[in-house]
Amino acid sequence: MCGTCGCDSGDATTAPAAPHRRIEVEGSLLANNDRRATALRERLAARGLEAIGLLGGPGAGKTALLEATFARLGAAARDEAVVEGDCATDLDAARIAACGARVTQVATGSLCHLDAHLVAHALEKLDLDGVTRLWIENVGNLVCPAPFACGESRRAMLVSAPEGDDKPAKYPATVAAVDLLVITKSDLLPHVPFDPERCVAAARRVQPRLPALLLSARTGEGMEAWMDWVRAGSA
Amino acid sequence: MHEARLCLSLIRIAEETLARDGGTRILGLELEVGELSGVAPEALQAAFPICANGTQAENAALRCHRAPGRGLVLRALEVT
Repeated sequence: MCGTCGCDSGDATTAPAAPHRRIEVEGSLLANNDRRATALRERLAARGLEAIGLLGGPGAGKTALLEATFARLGAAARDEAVVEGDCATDLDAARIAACGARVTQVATGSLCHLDAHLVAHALEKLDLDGVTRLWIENVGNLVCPAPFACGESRRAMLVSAPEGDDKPAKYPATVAAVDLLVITKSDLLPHVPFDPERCVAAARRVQPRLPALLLSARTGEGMEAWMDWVRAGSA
Repeated sequence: MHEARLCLSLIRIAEETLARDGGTRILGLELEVGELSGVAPEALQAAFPICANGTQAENAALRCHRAPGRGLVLRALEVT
């Protein structure tokens, strides 16, 4: 035990006195969630549904991107469904409902991420008849959601211009867990020190072929490319 | 925050392995923590003794090894 704080770093081995033996194991701690996520993905696929996950820090623009997406879909937004993850409140759910999409809010309490179990139960509260796409907006957090698949087929990581272009460098585990990098709030680029190329380069050090988009939900810049990516999965 | 839940998964896998093996107690666990797993070994170390309390892994030594990739895998147990 270390003398500074009592942690187990350094000499962590308390050698057992009793005769003991070693068993080789191959047990993933994420296997349970992975199994549930796969089952959920297959259940959705059987209904012709794809789930898209959105990951990003608080204020990255996840809900705003959904609002802009649904605005472009017009009346077809009623065929979209959203699982909203937040620690507290149903503020985001109200914003989504105002767009005409179906929504259920998971208030995670102090839980920092959604997982396949939470999402599967959230879906019990959603009527998926006629729904063509499911969105899973994770809790605003660039750390904890990464290892926990929620049944998504694809995931996008959102980084907003005011957050800083260093986010992919600082949160590589999230970069490794997604299929697209979205730089949001591009309308603020003239006002903040954010270099999109630096941001994308950092992400591609983790995932060399990660596609990236630059967009503004507010001005509509880059939204067409985003919509193309969204539709690419529903072929 | 989620490290406690992961510790509970770890202990469940370890106890299942112990039961299959016919052992009575878990003395040590070797865990591989991927650099891109999004999981901090320090947080696992902090949560482990609390989660292991009252289980067959009580007082066991948890050793975490860093590895490339996203995995979070129990590699070996020391049992008696």
